[in-house]
Amino acid sequence: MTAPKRSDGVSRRAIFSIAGAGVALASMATLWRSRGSGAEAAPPGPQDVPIGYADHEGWMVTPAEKASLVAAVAAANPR
Amino acid sequence: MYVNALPSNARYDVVVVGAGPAGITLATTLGAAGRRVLLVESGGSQPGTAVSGTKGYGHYPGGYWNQHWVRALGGTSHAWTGWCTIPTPLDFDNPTIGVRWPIPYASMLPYWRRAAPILDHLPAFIGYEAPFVPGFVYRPVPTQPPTRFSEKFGDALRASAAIDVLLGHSLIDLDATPGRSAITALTFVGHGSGARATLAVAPGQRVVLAAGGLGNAQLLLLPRADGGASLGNESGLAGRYLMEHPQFTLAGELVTDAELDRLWPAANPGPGMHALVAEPEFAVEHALQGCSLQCSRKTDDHDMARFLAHELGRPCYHYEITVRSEMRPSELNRAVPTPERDAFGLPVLQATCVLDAGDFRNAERALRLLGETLMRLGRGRVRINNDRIYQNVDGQGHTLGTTRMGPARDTSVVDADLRVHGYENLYVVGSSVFPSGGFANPTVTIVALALRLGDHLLGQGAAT
Repeated sequence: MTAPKRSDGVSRRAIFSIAGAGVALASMATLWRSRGSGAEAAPPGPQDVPIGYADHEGWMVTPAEKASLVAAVAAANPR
Repeated sequence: MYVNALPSNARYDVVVVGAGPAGITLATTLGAAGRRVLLVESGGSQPGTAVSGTKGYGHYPGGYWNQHWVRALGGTSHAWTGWCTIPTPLDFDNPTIGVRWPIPYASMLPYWRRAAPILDHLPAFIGYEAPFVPGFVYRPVPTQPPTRFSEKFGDALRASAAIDVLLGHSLIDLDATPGRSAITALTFVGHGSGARATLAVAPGQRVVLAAGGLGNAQLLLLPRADGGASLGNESGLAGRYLMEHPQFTLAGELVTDAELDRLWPAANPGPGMHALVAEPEFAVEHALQGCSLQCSRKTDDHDMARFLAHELGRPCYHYEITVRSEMRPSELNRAVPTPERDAFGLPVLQATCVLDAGDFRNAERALRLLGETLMRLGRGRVRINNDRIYQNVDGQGHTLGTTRMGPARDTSVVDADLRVHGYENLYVVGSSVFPSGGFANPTVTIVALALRLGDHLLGQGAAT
């Protein structure tokens, strides 16, 4: 069985071109809608990616240091 | 010399309104070059009890701004604490806040160095930095006893044949050519007599407003009898972009193996404060606004200092950190005149100044980045005190931005030469022209800009 021939005279290349243009326009519209004013909050940078540190009473320490500090506090204050 | 009333027959090259650090610096610069100057100050020879009556809203409410607005010979030098530090190149062009000063940073360096001795500081340490860790530099902040301009320059002004000083008079009206291309007259009122007097401004004569961070805007917002736009405020931006320097006292702590005292420049006898500042590239990469982490040495007998010293096997030192930083400029933060008049015959201002969330997060982010950097390098640990950041913001008494400098009238009030856009003879100088605040204490930059304007008016400097 053969596929029916296209009867509208529009080539496959033209269809791809039109579709591509549509995708491009949609992308531009999305960009336009999501654009910033230039005076709003700065985009998130690498500083917003958390690194592996633990909080010990507000101090930024390594998890191992936190365990050690907690253990030291516990040792200093036995029940 | 001092005069008691507006001289009726004198012809001045320049009229300077406001006798604070900017006005006195400019007047003495021009006077030394033989120019005839009238220096007018609304206050007296010493600060009095009358205040400007500004009503604050937002993070700096009530009478906050009046505490830092001194109407007297010497102006805000009476309130200055003597700190002297200059901006970084980032403060002149920071993509995070989208502001670029219209003058090159490097062109300001000679003026900062000339300004330092006027403020009794050492020029050699203007902009001094020392390496700390990758991403942060050490930036000492010298804190000499503050220079009071009335004491330092009072006798010279009295003896000067080139400068007439008129105290106790406020500028209450300006007139201009029909096309608003030049100021043609200034009207003053004397506070003792209540008498008004008008000084004609001829072609070739210049008028410089040097009335302070809010005072300059107040003069460009003087109401017109015909209800039209105030002279000099054709941009509609006078009073907008009001900024302070947010201060987050004791927002953090630092324990490090670096003894910051050793980084202090040996040739500078001090005193001063230690500060850590993000390097420009690092700051841009991490979207930081201007920020200085000021470190005060505390006891080394501190739990974390002892713990880290044990872990690292070398001594560690404990510091408290106060964050001094930058506000994102916003045209919504603004001073507007009210119908009420203050003790000096000028419109009482309503000053709204609200920090945005990014201004708070910036302080936390700077501390966090320092903490992460020191952890990676094994050089120290940082403690972040969120309560101090998000619930205890203060200011530093710095009033910035209300007549901002920029390339065009649609975005600024004055151009790079500090001339009001569209006017050939009206200038503004002071912290009001800062288009962004950075973190640095503004006094040395105010004086430097006055020196630069002096060169421009003398035809010795081309700013643009």
